[in-house]
Order: sequence, then C-alpha cells, then structure tokens
Amino acid sequence: MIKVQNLTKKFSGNTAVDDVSFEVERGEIIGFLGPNGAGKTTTMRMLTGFLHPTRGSIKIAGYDVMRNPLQVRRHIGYMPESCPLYAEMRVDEYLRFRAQIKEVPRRDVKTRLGVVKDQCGLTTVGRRIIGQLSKGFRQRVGLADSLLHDPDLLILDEPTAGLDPNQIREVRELIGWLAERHTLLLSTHILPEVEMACKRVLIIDRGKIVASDSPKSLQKRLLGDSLISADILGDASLITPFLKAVDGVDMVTSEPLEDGWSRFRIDSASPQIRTQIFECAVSNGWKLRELHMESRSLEDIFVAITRGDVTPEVKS
Amino acid sequence: MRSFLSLWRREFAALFLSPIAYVMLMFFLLVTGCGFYWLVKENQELTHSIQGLMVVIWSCMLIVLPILTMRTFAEERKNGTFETLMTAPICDTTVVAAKFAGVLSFFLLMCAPTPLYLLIIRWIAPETIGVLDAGTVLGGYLMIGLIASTFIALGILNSALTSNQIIAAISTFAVMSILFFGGLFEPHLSKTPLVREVGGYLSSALHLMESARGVFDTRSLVFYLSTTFFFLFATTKAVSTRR
Repeated sequence: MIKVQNLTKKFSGNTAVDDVSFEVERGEIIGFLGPNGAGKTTTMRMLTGFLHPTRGSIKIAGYDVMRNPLQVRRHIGYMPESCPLYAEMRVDEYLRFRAQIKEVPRRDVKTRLGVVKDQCGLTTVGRRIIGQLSKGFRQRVGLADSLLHDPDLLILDEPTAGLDPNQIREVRELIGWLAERHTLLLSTHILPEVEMACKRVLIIDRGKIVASDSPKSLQKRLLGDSLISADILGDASLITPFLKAVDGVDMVTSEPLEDGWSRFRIDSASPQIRTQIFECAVSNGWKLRELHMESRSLEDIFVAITRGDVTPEVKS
Repeated sequence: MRSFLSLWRREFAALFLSPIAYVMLMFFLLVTGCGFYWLVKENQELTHSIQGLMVVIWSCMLIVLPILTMRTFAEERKNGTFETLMTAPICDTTVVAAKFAGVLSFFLLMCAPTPLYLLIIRWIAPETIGVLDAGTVLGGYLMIGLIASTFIALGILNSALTSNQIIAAISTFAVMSILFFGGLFEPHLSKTPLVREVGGYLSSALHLMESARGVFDTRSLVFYLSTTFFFLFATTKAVSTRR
C-alpha cells in the first residue's frame, strides 16, 4: 500500500527526515511513534503530497506521489494534526463541500454523508456551526472528512491530541472500528492506544526510523523477558541472598514498604520463575502477599529507544 | 469543473460570513453614493458624472481589493486549512482560479448597484444635459472589471506569499498605489520622457477615463489580461513551491 524509499526532507539546511525507507501492506495498522520534532508530521505530509521530498520516492497504491499526486490523494484520507476546519461553516455544509472537492459522485454525496456522520457520531450536530463545537466533535468532523471518499489508506496525525480522557476513549473506539476496514497509519503520543490497536509500530527519532516491529516482539527483543514483583514480609537484606540463589534469577532489587514488608523486583529470562519464587518463600516460611509479572509497556520501549539506551536493528 | 464550482461557492460564501466584507460593502456604497451626489451637483453634463463615477469606484478599489484578497491564502495557511485543502484531489491551478473567481464575483456584486445611480438620475431629472450612452457605461464597467482582475490577482499572489494577512494587504496596497498614482501624477513624475511614457501606459486612471469617454484601447485590454494571467500563474507557482 505504501512504499517509501530513501525519503529525505531538508528545511533550509536542517534535515527533518533522513533517508527513511519502509513499507506498509494493505490492511495493516501502523502506529507511527516518535518524540516531538522527530519527523512524524513531515513524513506524513510527504506521504499525502502536501510537502515535496528533497530526495527519495513514495508510492501509494502503486502511484508515485510526485508523478501522480491527484491519483494518490484519491486513495488517501488524511487528518492533519490539530484537525483544521473552516470554523464558520456548518457540519453538513462542510462535509458536503469536502465531498464535492473529493469527487464523490453527485448521486452518492447524500448517502456518503449519512454513512460517515453515522460512523463518527455526528448525526445530531449536522446543523451546528463547526466553530461552536467541542474539540472532540471537531476531531470527529475531521475524521468524517477523511472518510468521505472511502479511501483505501487513512493517515491520521495525532487524532487524540488535546482531548479529554472520555473523548480519547471515544475516538480510540472509532479508530479501532476503522482499522477493520482500512489500512491505517496513525501517529500519537498516547502509547496504550498504539499498543491496543496497532499490529506494528514504526519508531522515528531525529529523522531516522529506529524500530519497526510489533509491540510484542519489540518488547521481547529490547527489554528482555520478565520483571517479577514480589511483596514479602521481612528484612530485605536477609531475604535477597535466598532469592538470588533461586535458579534462573538474574538480578534482585528491593524497596521497603510499610509495616515491615519489602517489595522485590526480580529480573529473569523466564516468566516461569514465579513458581520457584513461591516455593522458596514457602520453604523459608516467609509471608508472601503478592507475586506478579510486570509487563513492560510500549512506553518503556519508546523511552529506551529514543533515549538511546538500546539500539534495535531495524527490520523493514 | 465541479471542484472549481464548489471551491468558488465556498470562497464567495466565506466573504459573506466575515464582518470585514460587510464593512467593505458599506464603505463602498457610502463613498460611491456620496461621490455621485457631489458629481451631479458640480457637473451639468451627465457624461462627466459617468466618468467621475468610474474614478470614484476606481479609488475605492485601492482600499477594498487589498482587504478582500488578503485572507484568500494567508488565512488558510494560518488556520492550517491549507493542508486539508491541498491534500484533496484538486490541482493547484483550480484552487487559485476558484479563489480569484470568488473575490472577483464579490467585487462585481459590490459594483452592481452603481449603474442604478445613472438610471435614477435620468429618471428624476430628465432635463440633465447629455445622453446616457450604453456604450460608454459598458466600456467603463468593462475597464473596471479588468483593472479589478489584475489587482485581485496581485492581492491573491501577496496572500499566497505570507501567512500574515496584514502584510498581504499592505503589500498589495503598496503596489496598487504605485500603479494608481504613478499614472495620475504622470506629468509631475519625472522629466525623463521614458518614465513619463511608461507611467502613462501603466496608469489605470487614464485607461479608465478613456474608456468612460467611449474610447476603448486594446492595449490596455492586453495589459490587464496579461498581468492578471501572470499574477495568477505566479500564485500557482508560489503555492506549489511552498510545498
């Protein structure tokens, strides 16, 4: 669906995107992550043909973005960051205008408008002026706009930026629903969102793609397997040597809790180590009130990669 | 074609939704109305009043056109809607042409009531000297349309070059002033014959006076059409090179 090769964009001597290559298959859901200023928006703008690349080529649905910009734009539904809209127009009026300039056939405009308004929960606000809508609703209008011509590929630049938690949840549900029908490339700062929806993440940092894999295998590859947390009653300095002696334990750290309890964090290659730890507690007569495996989130991966703690091999 | 019409309709409607357009409409009608009243009072001949009216409309353009055109691209750039507009499947030329057509039609609509002044004066004072010649009136309005096209195209170009509406308006005003006054004060402009001749060629005031007298010079027609196309072409380039 998307084929990007050696994409570079320079702004007056400053390289925003540096020799980036990646591919996206039809039907994939890709999370595009990276710190602010890493080049996410620039890359997305080049994909939509809004910015011209300094070097490199982009093919979308088989069309070259530079040679067939109009064909490419017919296949893309794009929602820019901060979702700009004509504030003085009414929702219906705006969507009808967008449908017309997106070449939705005249006889289909009414049905498409109905469909996207239904999908995005806009049926009750059709007559409202966009400028008077809440941010959540405006975001939905932007999404509805990007869906009007039923594009194969949806590119959403921070669709949940600036929304409150309820609105984020709503938009996220909507995105999950869209993901079943379209190829989706979305950038965001809210990592649980990506973790839930995306099959693959692309992490970009300082203009370069630093990771491209599923959140699960990134986790496995970059952060080792498991971190086990155990709350045991007793003095940490006495307990730690016993825990370290358990077969398979790599490292043990501890912190004191209230009422004489201590929390131990145990690094191990195998998540099965929990049974041995339980047996160790039982044989020593310790009181154990909690034992669980902490899952490392995409957030940890993101921080680790973009801070340069780990350098993953890029697989594209 | 359909995208052009939708874009044009939006441009045209957007002007009616901004308070500044109403201020401009009021300013324009007030100035042309008062101007015409004064012209009729001072002149006995209707032909002079027609010429005078053209000049009044022409002077209004200096204020009205920079204000109407300043928002075309600058506002879209500032609000970010430029991005949604330019990622829709429409080519840059269509966008520029639609914006141009939107402002031009608004300006022509603004001018639409002014021929009524002439009809009214004929009706209430049949004794005024001179004939109301359709040719001179049409010639005058055609020239106004041509001059407006050039300056609207210039205004849109300036708007495409900046995201600040004030800068767009002021630079349009500055270039327009040169063409307006350069020609008007042509005899005082310079002693060099070449400068005076060029000033005379560029003077929209002189073009307008001539056409309102019934003389239609094809040189000015060519001049306005070619500059309009040049400015619109430059705007298209400005839009696509800023990608």
